[in-house]
Parts: sequence; C-alpha cells; structure tokens
Amino acid sequence: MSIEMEKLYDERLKRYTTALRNDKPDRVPIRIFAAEFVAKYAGYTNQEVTHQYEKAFEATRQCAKDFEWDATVINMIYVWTGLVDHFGQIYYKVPGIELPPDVGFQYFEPADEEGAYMKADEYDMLIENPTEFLANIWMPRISKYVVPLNSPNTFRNNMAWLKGGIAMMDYFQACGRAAELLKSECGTVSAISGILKAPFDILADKLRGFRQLSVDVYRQPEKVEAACEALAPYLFQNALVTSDPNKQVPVTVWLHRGTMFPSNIYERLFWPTMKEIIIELWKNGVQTLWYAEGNWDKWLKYTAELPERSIIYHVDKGDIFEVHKQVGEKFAISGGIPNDLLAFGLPGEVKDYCKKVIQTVGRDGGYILDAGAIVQSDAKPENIKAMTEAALEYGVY
Amino acid sequence: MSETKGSAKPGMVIPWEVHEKEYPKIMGDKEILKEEWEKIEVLANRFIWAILTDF
Repeated sequence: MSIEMEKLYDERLKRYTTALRNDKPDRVPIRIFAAEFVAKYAGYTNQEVTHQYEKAFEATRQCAKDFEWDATVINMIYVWTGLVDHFGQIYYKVPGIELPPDVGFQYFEPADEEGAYMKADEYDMLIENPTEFLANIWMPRISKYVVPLNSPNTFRNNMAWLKGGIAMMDYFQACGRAAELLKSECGTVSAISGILKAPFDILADKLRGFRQLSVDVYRQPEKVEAACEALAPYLFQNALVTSDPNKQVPVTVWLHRGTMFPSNIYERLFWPTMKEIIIELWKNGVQTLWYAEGNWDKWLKYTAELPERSIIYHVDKGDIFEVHKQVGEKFAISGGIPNDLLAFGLPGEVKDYCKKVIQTVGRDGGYILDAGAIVQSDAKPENIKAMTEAALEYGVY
Repeated sequence: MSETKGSAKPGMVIPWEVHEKEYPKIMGDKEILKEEWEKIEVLANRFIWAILTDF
C-alpha cells in the first residue's frame, strides 16, 4: 500500500470511528451501503455480482474510489448464490436461474403453516437445543438436498453438507482479502463486521414466517417468549465471534418486524432479548449499528434505554430530525437520505437535503451520511455523487 | 441472558464435554484434544448459524 493511500485510510478510519462514538470528526463521514447499484455502475448484471462474488467486491471498490466513500460494506449483496446452489436453499429466487439476470435476488419467507420451516408445535424442540433444531429439523426443510434425520441418506445430502461448508469458508476467506483490497486500493474502511438479528425476527423471517408468528404471538405468546430467550445467547455468541477484533467498527442488527406489531407485543416479545444482546455486546466493547428498516420512531422510548454510545441509530423512513432530537445526545446517527430521492430526484435536490441533514443532525458531530436503505440499481449515479459533494462542501467542521 | 439447556452450548455444535465421553480412554494430553476439537467446532457452529443469519 502506498504511503498516500495509507494516510488516506488512516484519516478515514479516524473520521468514521470518531463519528461512530458520537464525537465530532474533521468532517461528516460518507458511508454508503450499496448493493445492486454497484453492479449497474460497474457494468455487471445482477446475476454476475450475485453469483460471482469477486465481481461484487470489484464493483464495490470501483464505487468506493469514484465516489470517495470513507467507508462501505465490501459486498452488500448479502447472498452469494454460489453457496445457495451448492447447499440448496429453496427460499431464494436467483437472478439468472428463476429470475432474469438483471433482477435482484429475492427471499421468500414461509407463507402458511404448511410451508413453515418450523411448525407451531415445535417451539419446545427449538428451545431445548436451537443448534440441533436448525441442523436436524430446519435444514432438511430449507434445502432441496439435505435429508431429514432417520431418512435414508443420499449422496447429494452428503455433498450438500460438504460443499456448503467449503463454500462458506471460501467466501469468508475471500471477504477478508476484499477488505484488505478496499483498504489498499481505495483507502476505504470496511464499515461493519458481524451479524445480528433479533430473536423475534429470526422466528418471523426464517422459522415460522410473519403470518404464522402473527398467530403465535396471540395463541402461544409464552412459547414465543421462551423461544426468543433460548435463541438470544446463540445470536449473541454468533455476533460476538463475527465482530471486529479491534472493536473499531460495529456489528449490524438488521431490524425487520418490530414495527409490525402493537406495543404490548413489542414490549414483551421483541424488545427484552434484543436489548439484552446489545447490552452484552457493549459490555464486550462492541457497538451495534441499529439498522432500523422502515420507520421505528414509535419505539424510540425503548431504544433510548440502551447505554450511551452502545448503538449507532440508522434511520430509514423515520424522521431523522425527531430521532436526533430524542436520542441524538446518546447515540450517533446515520442514514436518513431517502432512497426515492436518490432514484427520482435531481442532484441539486439531493445536495440540498443532505445539507439540511448535515447542518441539523450533524451539527455537533455524530452523524454519518448514508441513504435510508441499501442503495439499489434505481439510484442515479449523479445523485450518489451529489451526496459526496454535499459532505465535502457542507460537512467540514 | 438465559441459561442454555442440557449439553447445548452457544458457539459449539457438539461440546467437548459430550465428545470427551466418546473416547474409550485418553492416554495423552487432554488439552490438546480439546483445543483441536473446539477449533473446528466453532467453525461448524458458525456454518449452521450463518445459514440462518447470513444466507
């Protein structure tokens, strides 16, 4: 790495980590989470970037360089469908296979009880040993190759386990190399490290499905509660082992279903274990990026219970100005630039809105510029450029 | 955080305490066996939970 690039990286790392801790850096950091946008910008199809991860890494680096991002995710197209092809997950539709090559991959959650990957009467099995439940019950249901326990074994079952493991090691090792290249070629910081989902969201997204869970919370809330409590230590452990060993950048919790239920459900079933995991991570020196997809403003009073600086509050469709007013003293804030503005607005409009956010929410530091949601292929490159221009013009302290 | 049940242990699929009982006898250094067992267990556990959380 050249001395200039090393200097640039160090400046950006300091800028980004200072803002993460709700302090005032030299200027507002630009940290864009971009998925299929990078493919379109770099001239790849969605099939290419989703199935061939090196192309996704390379397209991200091109964007990081061209748009002068201080930080980004090495690959925001979170599913490598090469692994899916080997392990056999049935819940994805893949560009180039079931979808045209220029459509983003799609996840299909269970739609009804018959299709649910965990049945209504299986809560006790999950609670008893979540890892064994996943391996023995869940995986045979979500993979077209993995066979259930006590069934005749198959060659394809054995190969799915073998190749799934190999594929995952291959991908994660490649991610390590990609983070190094993002640093050495672009001087850009790898923005996050580690994965977390709320126990309640795991039940909704991957086990019962939203519809089934919506019934469970009324018919068997004590089981839902116990399942969340059983999952919590495993999800905490999973987040901790994947977190940044240098404790500089946060784990991300991708928040999904909490806004779709009334307050009594949120308070009893979603919040307690979510809060517990975040506090435990913070005790280990690990911040959490609270990536609040949709509008989580109505739950601000709960989020405000978290320890100071334990999270960075990411705003999607919420009111970033209200979020700043209520919790800006405690937590750094990121995001809040509307994705539809990036898709349909003009560069001048984007710049004006970024200026407003920077000069209000970012007035005293602790603000990181980003879109509200992950940037898809509908965003115009000139608008992404306008975000950078806004940071450079208005974001210097 | 809640206690896990039985032999279940976050971060491990088959905890050392379970596997240790499967040896007919251990004539050498148990710690060597434990270290190498747990090193791969962590990766195996990560695989299972990554399919749930990452993929």
